[in-house]
Amino acid sequence: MPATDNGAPRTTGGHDRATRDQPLVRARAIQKWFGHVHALDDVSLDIHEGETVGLVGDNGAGKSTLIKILSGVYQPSAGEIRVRGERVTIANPNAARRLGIETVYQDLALIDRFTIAENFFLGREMVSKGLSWPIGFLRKRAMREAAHAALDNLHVHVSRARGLTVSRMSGGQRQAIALARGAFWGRSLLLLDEPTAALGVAESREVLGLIERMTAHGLAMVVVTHNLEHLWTICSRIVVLRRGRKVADVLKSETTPHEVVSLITGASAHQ
Amino acid sequence: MFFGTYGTLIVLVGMVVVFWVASPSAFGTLENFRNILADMAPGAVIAAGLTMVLVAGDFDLSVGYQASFAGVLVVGLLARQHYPIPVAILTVLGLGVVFGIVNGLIVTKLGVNAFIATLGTGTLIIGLNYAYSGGVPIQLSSGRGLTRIGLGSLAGVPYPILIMVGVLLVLWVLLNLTTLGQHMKATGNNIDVARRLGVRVDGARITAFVLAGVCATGTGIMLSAILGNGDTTAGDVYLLQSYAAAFLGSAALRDGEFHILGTAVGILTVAVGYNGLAILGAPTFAQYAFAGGLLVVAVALSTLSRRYARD
Repeated sequence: MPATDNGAPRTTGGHDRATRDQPLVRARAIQKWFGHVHALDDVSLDIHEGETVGLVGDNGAGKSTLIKILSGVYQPSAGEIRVRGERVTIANPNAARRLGIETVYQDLALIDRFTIAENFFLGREMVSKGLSWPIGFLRKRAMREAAHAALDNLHVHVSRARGLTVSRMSGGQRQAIALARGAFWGRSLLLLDEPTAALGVAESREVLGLIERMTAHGLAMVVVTHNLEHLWTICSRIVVLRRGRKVADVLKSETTPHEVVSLITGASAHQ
Repeated sequence: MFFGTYGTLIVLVGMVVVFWVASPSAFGTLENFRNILADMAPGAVIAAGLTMVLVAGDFDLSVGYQASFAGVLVVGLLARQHYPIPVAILTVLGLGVVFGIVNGLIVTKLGVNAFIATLGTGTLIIGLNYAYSGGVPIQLSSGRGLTRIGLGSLAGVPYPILIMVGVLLVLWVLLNLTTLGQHMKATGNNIDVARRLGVRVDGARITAFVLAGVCATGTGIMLSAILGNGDTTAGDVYLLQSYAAAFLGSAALRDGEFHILGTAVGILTVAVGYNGLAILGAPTFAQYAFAGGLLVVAVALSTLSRRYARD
């Protein structure tokens, strides 16, 4: 296996397919400066239809900066982003959502006192025709049915008792609801930030199963995780960031957990 | 759980029973219950408006002073400027919109804590009140027709009760059936999450302050219509009362959540208390003790019910 610490990203797979079909999302030569801190240095990333990309790296490597640029929270200092070939500016999270890029935040972004359906549709409520903000009349039943259908679609089993708020649900259930909401709205890309970090073993297994079903539905995802076992379960490709640079972009089948750890820490890979 | 859902209803039923037993001939009559409903109307309107602000996660300490100024101003516009009654009323309600926008902008755009901001604007409004009235009540020397709003009735139901029911209904619909209400609730529950999900949180908060302003000035107009003159401090007591009602209401039926129906129950509780004390001939200090004590009980019930809601 070639040494990868020479500054040139080790890349396989992605480029071959990039010439074959147009990537769903293509980030090119992304730079991000925070004052004097160079958070991202010339990072490029292609994400294809139906692909689950694991984004790994040590703390401060730039993972969450990259995720926040794709989700519209930060603006890149330089570089370009294309979605289905179109050059785009993702000025804010709403702009990302309009492009079909959804984020499942680490804190899940659920309103505790809201029901599943209310959380699904917050900010994008179904309203009766003829009236819009601020006094659109809510189509509560239609939203409830749509949310429950989305859960059924992904085999998520949680109580749908009328008026039951998510505050009364377990961590795994809440994670499943946040993921299902992301899958429901994410037409292009779903960004997952540490989806299993707060969960126990059994709950993690449930959530990983759910992510695999989402992949099977053809959803493209970028998953940030510190857990290599989970990474190996759900991802087909692995991108490693170190100190703001992309140091590897490899298919899972062409690397090993051991090599990925070496890439993350910067120690040279041993055979 | 039990106290969170039924705490206020227990307080209300308890008071009704006590007063009824103590004075069945005066308290327990149909006539007296109609008095209670009519007396609670101005307080219900201002408390319902305040509830919108609380739902959106803010405070408004200026509502009582807005009501006082509105009461003086509407009488002044009629007696001094000889405005037609509808124009005077709309002008004063419009001022409520302005107060609400100012409060909302200070809180959202300048990021000033709502407690401090509205304490400041409320004090400023006391100043405006003095500037306009000189601190002296204004007599309703012309435009006496205003009192018909306070004293008239339709099919035996006094106008203030109809106004109260109308305001409660409109705000209930806004809060429970529309995107605006949904966004206010989300903002009040978790403003950071609401913002990330694309809710226009500033718009929701400012709108809540505007609704509170319109309701507060509306209450001021109702008070002048009932009293028949423009008292410079008639609205002041409604600040404390509105908070007591809203917090009592949050411990009625919904686990510590502010809601319109709860606030209506809260105001009824307050009104029954005042009415019963008056019938029993309680001295003035007892009425203050009741008002203050009830606020503490209300916040305690609300806190308890929210704590149990988390389990």
